[in-house]
Amino acid sequence: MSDETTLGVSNDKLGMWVFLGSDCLLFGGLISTYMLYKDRIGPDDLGAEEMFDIPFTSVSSFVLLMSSLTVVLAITALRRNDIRRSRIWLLSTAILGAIFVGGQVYEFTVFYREGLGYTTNLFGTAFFTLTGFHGVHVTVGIIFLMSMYIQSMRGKLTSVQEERLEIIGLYWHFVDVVWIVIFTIVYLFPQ
Amino acid sequence: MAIVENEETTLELESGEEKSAGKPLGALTRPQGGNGWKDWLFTVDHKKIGIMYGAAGLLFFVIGGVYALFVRLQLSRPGNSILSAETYNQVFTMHGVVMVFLAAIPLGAAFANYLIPLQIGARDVAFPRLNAFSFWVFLGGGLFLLSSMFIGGWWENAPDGGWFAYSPNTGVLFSPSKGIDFFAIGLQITGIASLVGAINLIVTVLNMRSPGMTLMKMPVLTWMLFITQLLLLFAMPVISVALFLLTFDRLFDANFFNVAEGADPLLWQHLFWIFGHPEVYVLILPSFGVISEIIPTFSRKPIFGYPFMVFSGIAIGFMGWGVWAHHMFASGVGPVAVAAFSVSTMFIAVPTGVKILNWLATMWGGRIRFTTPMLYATSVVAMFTIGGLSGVTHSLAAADTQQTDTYYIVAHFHYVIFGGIILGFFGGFYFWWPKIFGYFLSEKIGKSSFWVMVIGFNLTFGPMHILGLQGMSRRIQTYSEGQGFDLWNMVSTLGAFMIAIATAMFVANTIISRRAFKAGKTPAAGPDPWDARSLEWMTASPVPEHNFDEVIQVERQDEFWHRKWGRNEEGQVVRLATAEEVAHDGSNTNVHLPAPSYWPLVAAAGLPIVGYGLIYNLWLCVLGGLLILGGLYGWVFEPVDDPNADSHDHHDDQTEGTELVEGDEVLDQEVTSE
Amino acid sequence: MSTTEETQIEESWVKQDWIYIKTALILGAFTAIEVFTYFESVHNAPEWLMVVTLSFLMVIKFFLVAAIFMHLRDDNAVFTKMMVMGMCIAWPVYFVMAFAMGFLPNWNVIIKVLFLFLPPAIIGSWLGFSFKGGDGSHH
Repeated sequence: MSDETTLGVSNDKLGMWVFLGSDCLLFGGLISTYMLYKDRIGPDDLGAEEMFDIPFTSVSSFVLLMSSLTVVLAITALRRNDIRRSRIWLLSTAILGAIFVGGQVYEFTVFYREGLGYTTNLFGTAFFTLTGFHGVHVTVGIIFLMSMYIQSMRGKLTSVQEERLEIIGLYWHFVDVVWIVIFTIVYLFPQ
Repeated sequence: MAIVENEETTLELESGEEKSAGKPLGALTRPQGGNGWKDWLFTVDHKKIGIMYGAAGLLFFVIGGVYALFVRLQLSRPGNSILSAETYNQVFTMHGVVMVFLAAIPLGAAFANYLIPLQIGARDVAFPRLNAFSFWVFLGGGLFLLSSMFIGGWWENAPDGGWFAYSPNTGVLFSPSKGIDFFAIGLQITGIASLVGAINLIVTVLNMRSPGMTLMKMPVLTWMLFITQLLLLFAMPVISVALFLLTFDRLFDANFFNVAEGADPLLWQHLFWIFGHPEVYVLILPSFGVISEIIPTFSRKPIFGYPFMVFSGIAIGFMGWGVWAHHMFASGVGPVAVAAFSVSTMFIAVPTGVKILNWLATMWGGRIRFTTPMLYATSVVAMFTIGGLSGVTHSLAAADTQQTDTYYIVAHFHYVIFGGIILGFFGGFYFWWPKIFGYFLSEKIGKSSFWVMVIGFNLTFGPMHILGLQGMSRRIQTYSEGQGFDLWNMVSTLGAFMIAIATAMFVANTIISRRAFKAGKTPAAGPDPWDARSLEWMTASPVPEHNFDEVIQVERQDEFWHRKWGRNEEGQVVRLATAEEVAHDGSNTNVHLPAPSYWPLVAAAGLPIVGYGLIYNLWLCVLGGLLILGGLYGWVFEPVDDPNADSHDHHDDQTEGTELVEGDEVLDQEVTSE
Repeated sequence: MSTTEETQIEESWVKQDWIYIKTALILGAFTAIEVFTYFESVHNAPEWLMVVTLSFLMVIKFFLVAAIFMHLRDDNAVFTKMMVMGMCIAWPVYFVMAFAMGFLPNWNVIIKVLFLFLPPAIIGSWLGFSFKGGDGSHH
């Protein structure tokens, strides 16, 4: 189909890229808000330095990073019409994503128990909003992946529909890339 | 984009239904193309969607206009008490919000939807169902916003923070009604519509062009609309962020604009105007495009300096991102920012000036026909120049500090928004009406309504310059006698009613002209009533559902014109063919078209329900969310092998069909080998 | 699909996808280095050095994922351009906002201006602004 279009690329894929370009501005706005607000807390307030558990977050970041690999493997397997393997990789991507989201929920719970709620201070508000938005993106991605997995089980996902999975893969990688940025800027930069 | 010609399987939907294997997910089958209201409700045709955008935009324009009339009535005399101070705040807020988000943007979207595919010679937009979705989302968001007038009592919960909704004024503390919630969520919903529409139209322009239609052969209107969509694409997420922060502050008690916790209300102003200034160009560029089509047609000359027109549009699009803080000169952004944004604001006048000069040069030496569209187009050049020049005065920070929050500002942006945008769009209506509906609007009523409108417009907003420089501040509910504001306020109010009369004349014109045409008193428009230049005139009027009978091989800019006119040996322009000979007559019925679909409407209906849920009862969110999810799933799993085709594969229906068969076979082999 | 072909797939998928696996290994290694900076011995390094190193690693990871996993390297340039356009707008716009709101108050104005416009300018000119829009030759 793609050689029927002006640029020789498929509409769907171009549409996804256009959307990702736009999503840069969404996360840009949220990250800027966080950077501006994270230090605007009282001397005794809970801030980034007290809250973050870097080893834990490193593991969940690594999990998300590896899910980018598995989704690529799912796509290439599907391209070779290796349905069985593509299903395995697809499912493992969704599971890795779910582990990441689960880790985030756990992290939020710990923060809340330690006394940092959404409304506690500016750091809490900005942090939960930024990472929450990312978590929602990951969750949406998991829904996409599971839908594709179900399609695959119904026999409706073969090398012909490879591009659908590729487009979902683009979204998934983008979410991963955003986390690369958030992990460095929010967690690792000296507080 | 392939157009399947002389295929055996044709438009007949019955045969198509037989071929499709099973019903799509759920109980609903695909809606059949038919007639009456269903045809409009489930349509994915870019032309019908464009018309609906136009109708909705005009409706909201009238509603916003009624708000404006109340504002003007209240201000007509000193010490008036038609509106209370609270209601006055709500009415001017609603006026601004409705006019910007529900009238001006969708009217631009109407032109974009209807004309982009036609001008690039395409069959439809890239994602027809997404197109329907974005319209219904917009309409739902608009009605959601307007419903704030009625819900919980008459004018109890309407937003009251101005269209700019400066924090911390919009916090629960200072605005305890639910108005700002309606504002934030309603704009979020219409924002989704704009974003989705932008993605769709950008892909359309990049990827759906007729063979030979390079970017630099596209009509100026398509170029300007394309830049508009790029601006929307990148500006909408910014306002989304701002509105999310505001919504979270109000609903979930977050601290983004909570000054007591150390927050900075300037964050809202920055985010809002980072969106807000590109938004200004989102509004004006379609109108620039419209008059760039009208002026060459009625001057009988090609547009002067086509590349300059295109690149000045691109320059405006880029520089539009670097001027937002000139809305904040009085907010205390610091001397460096003020100086930098002063300079960038002066600079952005340059590409706009280039455009003005090019329109003048197009008209220069042309054989001008002053039809109604041309009258509107020339008035845009004049009125926008006035508004643009008063805008340049704002770039001087020292002067701007004096003008901030006075009626001078109101005068300025109405000159560019009304004088630049609305006048241009009315010109566009008169210009493309014969193309869209097949009959002319009455020139007699058109010309008289034009003069009423332009005179009324100048009477309304001209005096505001004076009022502003005299020191009358904007957003005040009333003023007292003896301040010297009485005369010009009365003049302004009278002018506002002249605009109302002119709008009513336009509406009456559409009805009267239609009746006259139906009664056979006026001739049919024919494919090319104005001797125009671009591809949309190269097909029958009204445009048949499949747009063009065959693929148009484009060789030059203004292809259609060059097929009608050429030069003889002496270099004189001579007619090569009549428009009727060149234009397609719409007789080809062997064209596959995307089938109508329920799902965009279902998915779009969920969004306002989620909105009400956020404000009143979170359980409603679940209901709305399920509706959205169900709609999207139904949409995605609408069978791709449906010969009636869907979003993307109608361009290559046959290949996709065969591919799918192959796919199934491969799968069968796979299964058997296992 | 015959059995021999099946075995071929069995044997070669790691080889065929080696580029992606390699990329993932490199990404993992970079993440390990990043996390390593968190430990005390390195933590006492000057703050600016930490920020520069971490940013550098972040940018490399970003480009690796975009170029190889999202295969921008081999795909049509229009995709890269759409994405870069978004980033080139986001970068200066949001940093101007942040600076205007008092972010990094100690930086010199000239350094701030360079910081704002150099990265987008470099990436922009690297990609080239000449957009080859296609003339429908694919039809």
